[in-house]
Amino acid sequence: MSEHTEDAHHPSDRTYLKVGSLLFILTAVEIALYFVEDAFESDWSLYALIASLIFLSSIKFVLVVMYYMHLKWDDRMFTWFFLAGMFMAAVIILVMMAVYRYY
Amino acid sequence: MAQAVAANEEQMDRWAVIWDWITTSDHKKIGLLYFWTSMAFFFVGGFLALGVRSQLAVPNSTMLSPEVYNQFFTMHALVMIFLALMPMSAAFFNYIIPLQIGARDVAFPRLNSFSYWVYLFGGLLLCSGFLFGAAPDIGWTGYATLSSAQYTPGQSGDFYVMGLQVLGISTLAAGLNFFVTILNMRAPGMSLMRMPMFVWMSLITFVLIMLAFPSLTIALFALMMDRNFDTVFFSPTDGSVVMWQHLFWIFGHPEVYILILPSFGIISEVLPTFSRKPLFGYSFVVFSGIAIGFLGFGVWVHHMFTVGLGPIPNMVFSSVTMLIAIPTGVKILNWLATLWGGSIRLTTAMLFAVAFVGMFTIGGISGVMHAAVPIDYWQHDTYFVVAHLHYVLFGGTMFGLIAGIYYWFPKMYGRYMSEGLGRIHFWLTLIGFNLTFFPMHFLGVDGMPRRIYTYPSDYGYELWNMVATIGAYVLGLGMALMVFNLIKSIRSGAPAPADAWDGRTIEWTTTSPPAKHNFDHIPQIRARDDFWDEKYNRKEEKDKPADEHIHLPPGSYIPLLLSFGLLLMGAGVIFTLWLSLIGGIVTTVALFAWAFEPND
Amino acid sequence: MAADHHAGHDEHATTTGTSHNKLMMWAFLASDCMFFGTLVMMYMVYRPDMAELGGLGPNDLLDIPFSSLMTFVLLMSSLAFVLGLSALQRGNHKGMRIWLSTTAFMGLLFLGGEFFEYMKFWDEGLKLGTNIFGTAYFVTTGFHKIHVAIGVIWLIGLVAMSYRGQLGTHQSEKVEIAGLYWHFVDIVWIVIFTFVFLVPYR
Repeated sequence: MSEHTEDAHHPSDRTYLKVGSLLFILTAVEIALYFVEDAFESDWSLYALIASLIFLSSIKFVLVVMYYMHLKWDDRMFTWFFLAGMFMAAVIILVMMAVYRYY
Repeated sequence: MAQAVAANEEQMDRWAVIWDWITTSDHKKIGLLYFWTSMAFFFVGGFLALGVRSQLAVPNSTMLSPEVYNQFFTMHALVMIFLALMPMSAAFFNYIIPLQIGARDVAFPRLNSFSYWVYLFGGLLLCSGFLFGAAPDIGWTGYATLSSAQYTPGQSGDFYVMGLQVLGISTLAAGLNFFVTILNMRAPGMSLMRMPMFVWMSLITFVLIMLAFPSLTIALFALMMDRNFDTVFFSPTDGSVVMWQHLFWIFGHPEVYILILPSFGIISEVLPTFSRKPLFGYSFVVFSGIAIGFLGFGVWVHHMFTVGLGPIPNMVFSSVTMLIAIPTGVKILNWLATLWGGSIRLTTAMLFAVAFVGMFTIGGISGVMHAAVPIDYWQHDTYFVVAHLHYVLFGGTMFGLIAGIYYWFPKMYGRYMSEGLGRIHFWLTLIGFNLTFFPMHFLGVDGMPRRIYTYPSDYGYELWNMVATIGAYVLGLGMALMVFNLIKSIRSGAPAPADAWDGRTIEWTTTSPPAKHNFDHIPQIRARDDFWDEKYNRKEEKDKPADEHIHLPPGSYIPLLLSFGLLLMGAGVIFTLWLSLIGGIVTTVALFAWAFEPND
Repeated sequence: MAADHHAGHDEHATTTGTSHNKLMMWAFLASDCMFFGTLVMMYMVYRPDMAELGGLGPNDLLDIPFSSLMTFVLLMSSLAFVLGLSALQRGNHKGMRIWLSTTAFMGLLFLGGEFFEYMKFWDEGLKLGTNIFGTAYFVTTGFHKIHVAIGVIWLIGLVAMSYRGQLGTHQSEKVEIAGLYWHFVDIVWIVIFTFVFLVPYR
């Protein structure tokens, strides 16, 4: 199964390295943001930090899934499996947070 | 080696036969193991139920002490749900799915055998609580903090936690295995929308298992940590007492669909076969099944309306619960329309399938009643709920499974079950079932709480309790008759041909019982209900299949070893952690042996 | 269980065109999403109670620079893994062994670092049952640690198989499937690092 897919389905080492550096940089930015926010400690800075952390870590998440786990090239079916699991987990987390936060 | 052994099955001595069953990776043998084990557990659960009903027959009864009564009703529920109904569905998954999709085995035969042994050991672990006088007595829901170490000290809570944990591993492994099997091992030409309905409903069941059981595993893991390692997940002061209920019902509601969907599938096979008509609205049945599975994840709070989560959560979850009635109703109408205008043969399987539709509808309607929050406030934890859940689990799931037994028995054993006995069995079951559970609606409306061990004499509960108890014994008699019928038919039933019922799907093309390799040639699927199409509609000859290399998995004892390791690990948490350590070592060794065992 | 070798027989083409093993791994990962989802859900629900825990809360104990270092180790181990897979697909067995060993080593480094952090918390008085932070932190990250440990054992097994000549270029899918698991554990850590460590407790 893997012989004929050598070129089209497997990214080059360069791509892997690029993605790796991107992951490194994004994590560094996240940590930097954490310490910058530490200096302000106000409501707006907290919300800004949470928003940017969620944004940045989603990018990291997607990068790993798409490039390292090959979902970008692999059978679309796997993407649906994974989305189903992620979707259910996300819904349950959000619903439970809402239930506990507001009631 | 194992093929050679199996080929000379007649000449093998007794120990070789036993060894063959222990190490088997043949889905049909594993299916039969599941079937008879679950049947045995079904009778354990049934005796517990008779104990409960005998205690409640008259007011102020002292037959069982409150402690024993608590163990009885808890174990009745656990045994019936986890050790009888789900594994009996698993028996049909194992035996029928590969035959219906035209495969020679499942995707991971050793994992399949592992699932069975873990189920057996988990079941024995759960039930062994009785031997130590410490069977779980906290209800099958095991609500924290009742189940916490403070209120359930001693081993009974640990038997609950570890028994279910081990069983969860079995279910998850089987669910993943069959999920892959259905997607990946279909016969050529069998697209998703040509799959038999039983396969479809099972596929949805497996997705539910994959997504719902993790929640139970984590809940039990957290409870184990709370009970044995001092964590505070469910502590009233540090953690949250309601958290267990959320976790349990996030699993628990999909679980009820895990229980009912296989039966939906079975009767969607039985009704068309005995009406000689295709299933009405195939794609509607498929998509309403998917809708039920999906919505099933969004309704767990309807078990918790009285917790006091506030009006908004109650309203939201109430609405989603009512929504489920729509796809369920679609299915019921599809089944009725399948019967409409068909040339109906009222065999025992058909009788049970038709009764399923009626009984399940009653249970479904009383279920929708609970979706309304004010009505639920009134009915919560009363016998009305007991009536509802038995109408869906017995009148639904079990009637469907019995229909499946009568329907597929000729395929499994090459003999018909006795129709005469079957009819008596049917009427005893139907009458006994309704005598037992219909009065519980009245009791619930009159305010009799569930899970109480007795009741005073002047509340007006006497009559209906007595009726229910009589009904339970009639029901028990019916079930005993079924086992008699099973054993008698295995010995001396009328021989059944390959196509025992003028069937529609490809499991009827192969011999009864099927050969070890299921099919001499993997069939080419051209239509939905392919076999029917071939018999009555198709003009051209069936194309000549190419010669195939038949590859069957050899047997292996490693799944047994691995599941034994897991049993030790689970038992260690109950008794002494040294046992867990030994279990861990056994498990690790078995895993390596598993990975390096040549099994091609 | 994912090591079952049944898939990929050429004479038994599968319906979906992908091997049983790979399909199984993705199905398992979908299921695993729910395992971690449930744990993270509990953590998030309990999180608001963790801000004030009298000297033994996350604000007093969490060491962001050290945890960041561990995060980098785990992220880079994923990079090492894909480089190993890519080496194997080109037929470079030696390169594959080096990269996979590096991955396993980084995994061990991560485990060791986290163990060190556990001990530090423990010494400062945070036990499993001290408060809800102790409970949720140890169990959530501990469950992740179990996953990493299984991954390390798996990696060592793969390297051993390669030395014994049982891991040919045409069997690169075995490595790929282990990789799916490893990267999944990595993305779980991305989530945990963000929501357990970085988002401030106030």
